Amino acid sequence: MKKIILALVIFVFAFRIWQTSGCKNYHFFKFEPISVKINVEEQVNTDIGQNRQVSRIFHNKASATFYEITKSYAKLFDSQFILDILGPIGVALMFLALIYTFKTKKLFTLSHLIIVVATPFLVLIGSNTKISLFVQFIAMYSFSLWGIKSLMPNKLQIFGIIFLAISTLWYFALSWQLPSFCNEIFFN
Amino acid sequence: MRYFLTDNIIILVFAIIGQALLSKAKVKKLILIAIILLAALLRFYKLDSVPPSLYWDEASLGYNAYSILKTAKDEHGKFLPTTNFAAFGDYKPPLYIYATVPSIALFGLNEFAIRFPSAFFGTLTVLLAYFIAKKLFDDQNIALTASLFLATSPWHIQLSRGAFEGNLALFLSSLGILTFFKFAKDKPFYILISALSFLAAMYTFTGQRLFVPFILIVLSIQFKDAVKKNIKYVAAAAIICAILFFPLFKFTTDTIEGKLRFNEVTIFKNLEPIDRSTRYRQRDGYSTLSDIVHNRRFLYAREYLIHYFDAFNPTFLFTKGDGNPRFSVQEVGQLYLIDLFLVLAGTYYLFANKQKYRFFILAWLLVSPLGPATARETPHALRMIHILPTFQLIAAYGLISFYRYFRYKKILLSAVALAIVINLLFYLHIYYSHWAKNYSGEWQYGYKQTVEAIRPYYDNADYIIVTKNLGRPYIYFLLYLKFDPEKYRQTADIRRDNFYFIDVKGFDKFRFVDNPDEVEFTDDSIFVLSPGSAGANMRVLDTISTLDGKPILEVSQKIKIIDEEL
Repeated sequence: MKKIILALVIFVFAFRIWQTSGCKNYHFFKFEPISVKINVEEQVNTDIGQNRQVSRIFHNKASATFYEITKSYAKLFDSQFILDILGPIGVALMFLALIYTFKTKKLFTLSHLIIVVATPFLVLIGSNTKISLFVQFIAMYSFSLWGIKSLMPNKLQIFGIIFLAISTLWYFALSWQLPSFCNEIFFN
Repeated sequence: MRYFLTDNIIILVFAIIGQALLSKAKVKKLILIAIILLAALLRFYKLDSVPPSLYWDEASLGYNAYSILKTAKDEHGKFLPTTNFAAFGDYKPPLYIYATVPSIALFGLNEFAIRFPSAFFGTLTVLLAYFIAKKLFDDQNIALTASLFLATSPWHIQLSRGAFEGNLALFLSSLGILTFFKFAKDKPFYILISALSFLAAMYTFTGQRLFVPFILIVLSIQFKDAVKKNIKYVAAAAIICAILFFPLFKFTTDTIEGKLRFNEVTIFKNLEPIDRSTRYRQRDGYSTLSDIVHNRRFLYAREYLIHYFDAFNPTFLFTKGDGNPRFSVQEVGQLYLIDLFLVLAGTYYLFANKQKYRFFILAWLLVSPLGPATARETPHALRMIHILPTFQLIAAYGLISFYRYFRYKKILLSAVALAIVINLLFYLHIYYSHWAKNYSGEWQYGYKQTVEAIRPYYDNADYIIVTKNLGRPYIYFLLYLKFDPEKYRQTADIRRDNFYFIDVKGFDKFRFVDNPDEVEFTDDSIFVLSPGSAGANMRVLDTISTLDGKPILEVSQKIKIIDEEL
């Protein structure tokens, strides 16, 4: 039964990957180092009348770099972005995969999770947005498959998975334009 | 020898007294007091000047409270309203206004008095968080940590420093949750206090009406045995609250005014999904398959799902906060970055340790966005405020649990304390130094200065013509002039439009216009207009600017030509 569920989930994810391949023009996710300078200059300019040392403690390139990278990184885990990639079934399986990872504490699954957390950095620094995003998507899809291991083959869960799979396909159909990361899709 | 013995006996006596005085329990009580004092300081410091101005809802709450204090009627003359205050035609829930009456009586009609209930009950919510955590985890260290996290939370500080009904409602619903626990674990009569607290929360903030039913279901499931055992108490509380709730229920469901707010903000009144459904089905030739795939109900369901998950958006929670500058400083998330690790750790430990109330805590977290997800603007920090203090409870549990397993305890505590201090100081710097200046316009800054500017000319002016460009100017003139409510009602020109919104065209000498040519005026009229709108025959008396230097209003007067023959 778990193999059938696995095949169903892989089919759903493969459908989404195929859809995504039709995107001609991706949103811009790359980290811009100039944003650090802009951040520091803007904030320091607002600190008129403040002690310059105090202003520099709060607004310096180190803290601004950390903040701007975090901001760019967080965009790649935006809720609509995640929903558009994983769909409802992927989100549910992702939760189960996280539970499975921390419950079993296996090195392999923990390493897999670290890869999922690390791949968005590829998008931030990579020259080819399409390839970087695909790497991130595949990392997330493959990690969420661990969630199937948490399932117990009872009727309720099987029905739930089938319902989620159908809902996800429908969701992907409605989100055909991939609004959270695609500006223009080839097959309209 | 004698002196040696005497000295040592004295030292021993002092040590025993000292130990008794500073017993662990007493030290923890002192820490709690320190946390509450810190919470009070963070909420009350410069409360009258930061945020830099009262925004229109605050002004309306304040003036209606003033009107109740003076005349026992709201601004429109309704005697002691019970279900709503008409205000701008947004029909505000009543309880925050009534809570503001004593503070206005004590402190006068000013920014501090209007914001006082929010700051005061915000501080008390920190204390409630301590007691809730103690009930949930039965561990004083976790309880102290949770209350410290809430005391320093940017989400809670931001909303405690404005006159936000949601913040008072958070205190009431948190009290409802705490007393429900006490009902289940201590004495059954607490169910009545719990029910009344939840009811009061619904009379305070509209958002609570879509939270209280869900949290009551969660509490009832969690404590189903206690509910069954004390069914008579539960039934009595339910009947009393049903009677008290009935007027609000009738207003909300049976009147156009009651449904106005929901209709204004809900995604289900948005016609775009219906339009999209029709277009797609038309393109697909209205086939049965297309009727299923492009069914508008599915489109609305998709919209709801997106809005629900917006509540857990990392940009909202950890980097930028709410998109509305009133609810966030825009440079710090609703939670600190350190909270990401602590909340993840807390979630893990809740399940790893099979914590007794793990499902309740997570259910509280997950049901909180259900109501706000029906609104267009998501994520919304104010509408979702009742999600607090779940993040802080989970983070506190995560920290203390990790502390117990981690080998280098002092390093861990030092690192977390340093992270919190740095995050808090950064937030406070942005809040006081940047945010107030950059976003003063969002708080309708300028009206108070305008009232001061026209005050010297008030007695001699025939009319004072004020532009409505900044929105709802009348309430500011009423508030800052401390205008007599009875006199206002006698002279006010109020129109209600087809959508039940209330438009005040003028009162006394004041005329509120989109265009000054709409109304009659004399040579002895004062004009308050957008910059550059004054005619060539006008003399600018004063220019009002926002804190970042942008001119927003000009006070001007017609230049009088003196007749030389006279």
